[in-house]
Amino acid sequence: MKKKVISIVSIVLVCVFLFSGCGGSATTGVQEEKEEVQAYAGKEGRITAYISGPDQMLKDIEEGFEETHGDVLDVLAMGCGPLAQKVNAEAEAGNVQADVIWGAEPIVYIEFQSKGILQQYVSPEAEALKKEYVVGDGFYTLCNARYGVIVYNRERVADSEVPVSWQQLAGENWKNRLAIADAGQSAMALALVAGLVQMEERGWSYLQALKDNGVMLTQQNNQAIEKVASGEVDAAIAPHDGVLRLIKKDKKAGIESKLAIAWPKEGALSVQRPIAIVANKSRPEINNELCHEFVDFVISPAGQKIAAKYGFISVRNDQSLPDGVPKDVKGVSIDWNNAVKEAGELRNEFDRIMTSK
Amino acid sequence: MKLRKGKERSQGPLFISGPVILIVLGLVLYPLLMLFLFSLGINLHDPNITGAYYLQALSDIKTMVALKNTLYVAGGVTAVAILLGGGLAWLVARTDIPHKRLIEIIVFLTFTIPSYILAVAWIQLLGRNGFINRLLYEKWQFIAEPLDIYSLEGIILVMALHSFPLVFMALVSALKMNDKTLEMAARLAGASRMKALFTVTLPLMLPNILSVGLLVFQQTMACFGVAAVIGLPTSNYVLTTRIYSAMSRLDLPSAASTSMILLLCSGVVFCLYNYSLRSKRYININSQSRKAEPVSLGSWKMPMFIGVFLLLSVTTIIPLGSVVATSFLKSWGLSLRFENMTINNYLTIFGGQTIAFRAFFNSITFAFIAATVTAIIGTIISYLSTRTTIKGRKYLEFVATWPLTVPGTVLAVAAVLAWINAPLRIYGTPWILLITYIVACLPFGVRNINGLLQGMDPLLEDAARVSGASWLRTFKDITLPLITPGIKAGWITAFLLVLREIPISILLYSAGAETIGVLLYSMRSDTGGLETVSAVAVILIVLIVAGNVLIGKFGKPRKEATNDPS
Repeated sequence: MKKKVISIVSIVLVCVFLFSGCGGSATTGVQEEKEEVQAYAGKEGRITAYISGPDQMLKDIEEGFEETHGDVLDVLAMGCGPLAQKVNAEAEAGNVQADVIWGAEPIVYIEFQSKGILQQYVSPEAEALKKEYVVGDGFYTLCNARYGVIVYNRERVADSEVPVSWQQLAGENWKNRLAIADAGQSAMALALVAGLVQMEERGWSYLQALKDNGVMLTQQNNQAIEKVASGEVDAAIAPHDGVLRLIKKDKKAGIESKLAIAWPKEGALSVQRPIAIVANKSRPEINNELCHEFVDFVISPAGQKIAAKYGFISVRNDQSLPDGVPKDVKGVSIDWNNAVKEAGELRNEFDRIMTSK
Repeated sequence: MKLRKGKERSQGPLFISGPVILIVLGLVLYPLLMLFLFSLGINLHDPNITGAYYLQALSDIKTMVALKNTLYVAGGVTAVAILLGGGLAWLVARTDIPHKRLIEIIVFLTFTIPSYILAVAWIQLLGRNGFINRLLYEKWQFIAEPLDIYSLEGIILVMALHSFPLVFMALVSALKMNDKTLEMAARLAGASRMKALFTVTLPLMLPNILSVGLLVFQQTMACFGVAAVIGLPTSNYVLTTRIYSAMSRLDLPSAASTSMILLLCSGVVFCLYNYSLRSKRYININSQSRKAEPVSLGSWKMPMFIGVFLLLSVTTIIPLGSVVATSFLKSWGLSLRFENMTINNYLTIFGGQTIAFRAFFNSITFAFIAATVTAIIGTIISYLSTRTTIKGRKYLEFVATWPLTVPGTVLAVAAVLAWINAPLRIYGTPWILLITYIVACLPFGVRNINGLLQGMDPLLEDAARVSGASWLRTFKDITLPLITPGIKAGWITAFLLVLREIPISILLYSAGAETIGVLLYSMRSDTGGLETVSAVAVILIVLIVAGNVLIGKFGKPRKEATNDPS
């Protein structure tokens, strides 16, 4: 038995030394000529984009872009969480394969920017953006917004009871009727929590009130919406676009949706979806050009119209709101840099409150 | 039973061990090492070893609570799955309970339901306004408090119902292969039925039970989907939800170190398993008189069958029915009335979604190849581990089964780290999916066969060798037929695993290599709603069942047919 233990330990140690040796020497090389080490994964004249979003929207975007550029774009569709995780893992391995990434939340992109994997680009289209959306020094461009709202079940919430403010959800009559995605599991949920906490006067007491009201956590935002639809809870805090798409689907199926959105009077939490070009010195110039053109396209009126069809709010000042979003909607901006700084604390506090008895 | 101690093992196939060991080291150990390095903080940006991530994880009370929860859940699931799966297996393989084939089919069906869907179905039954709660609590006031699915026990329930078919399949094949003459001898010598069961059959089955129990235990520790759907709502975290949380905040080293802690626990359990088998060696000579009299249940026959059927209705038929019903709903949450039904969900899958056909084709291809490769490698590893004296064979076995112990997401990340840079660059091609599937399935191949080999005395093989048969001939004519049920069970498990696999698919697929998992995920996180996800699951189940029927029709081995009393 002892022999075995010794042999295991020695094997592990040998491996560690071997690999750390490799790691060490490789790293000095990396630091000197970091860009050269990162080989370009794609082909000349063809770019790859990792995008999260409804499949059909990605298809429309791809078609729209290729209409003018020819078959030059490969889209890899994935959810927001996997997108961030995939890019992060690739970055850790020193070789991000995508040329463009689009989706997930600003917090993720600020993280990526600090890891040095994003390439600066300011689109000429940026002039038409609303100025609250011009952030990030060109390392990423905010190209759509989603609103964190209250989604409720029309059959289980009486008209008189429909919440008109965030504050109401903290009230006694919402006990055991609420759901929200777990901020530790979903970056979008973290963004929403950051927004709720930043709405000053409430701070952590608001989340504590939700907890006291027996709020149910889910892993993803759409699961919170599913729980509202099934009547397991009566309302949830979730992004609006998915709800709009589900309502639209119900309409198409000829039924009246159970889901409805309440737009809180303090304002809906505006969480933007950024787009960014991945830094890669060995990318051919023609591909760089294509990346620029793709970003331009996504924030152009044509690209914005496609996204609006799927419920996303445009960042431009010359576009109308998607169907189902009230004209007088008030969006509350979240301070992303602050949110990133406090991300650790946000997660810990959320965790502490939600696991408290 | 302990007839031979310290015997010599047949000196095995040294010539095939080389390549297999290389494959295992390359495909399985190498990504693990990459993960290990990351857990020590060694990466491109920072080559210095640090134990900080371990210290951080170990000193964090949250990790400890999650670890405790994980062990509780894994233990509970293993116990329930063994009782349920083992009991049913015994009834089917050893008694004259009627409609054995039906029972087998229903149990198999349970296994085809993706665990995520199973969890959702159970929430419909046991959720706050679930069907069962409405009946037992509100209507009949049978229970004082509504049952709460959102608890650790809820995870145990769903995971156990998801895992017990594994136990069932492994033990049925083992019981069928087991020598029944011993049991008969015990009966002839005057032992009661029960005494024969507990003193002969059960001890004989112990290696198989432990082997598949280990499989279930390790698999449950690594389970993420069910733990997330059922544990999170009331903040019951297990290690995998903590790992996912680290992944979600892009903290790879923490995710890696927590995975290593998970792996360590798994290793300890593995050592216990090996230790428990060390002192016991079982003879199990497969004589020709395998067609022993089944235990007669007498007047208990029908009540027993009805009981089993009721049990299976709860575990399988109701959840399955709810999945099928949901797949025809116009919208998730509508009541089951005819005017709310539609076939549009099926049409959308294959209508607008051109990737659907490709996804099914790709997944089936991947599953077929991965299952076949793992069956072959798994057989060899099991053989090396139980039938040879090669040094480090137990390490080989553990290395081959480590992927079982970490969640799929972590396995996918390990694959990214391992296979993204030249000269080993297969990331971004369909090969990485195939390889990672093989790695993920290997444990099932190994475990299913290992139990059988552990339980069988090498006497027959030795006899063949003594009689002059070559090693190859011995393997082909003696060993292989004896472990065929295990290979089959492992193959089917691996095949199903790949078909339903989501996290590996979603992180590693490339354009053109979409899989069912990718389809399921995009439906789930997209506009499809649960009704469309259910429709995909139903198509999957139908395909699996159809495939199984085809295999049964054309591939039915001649020998087993006579062996099966039903």
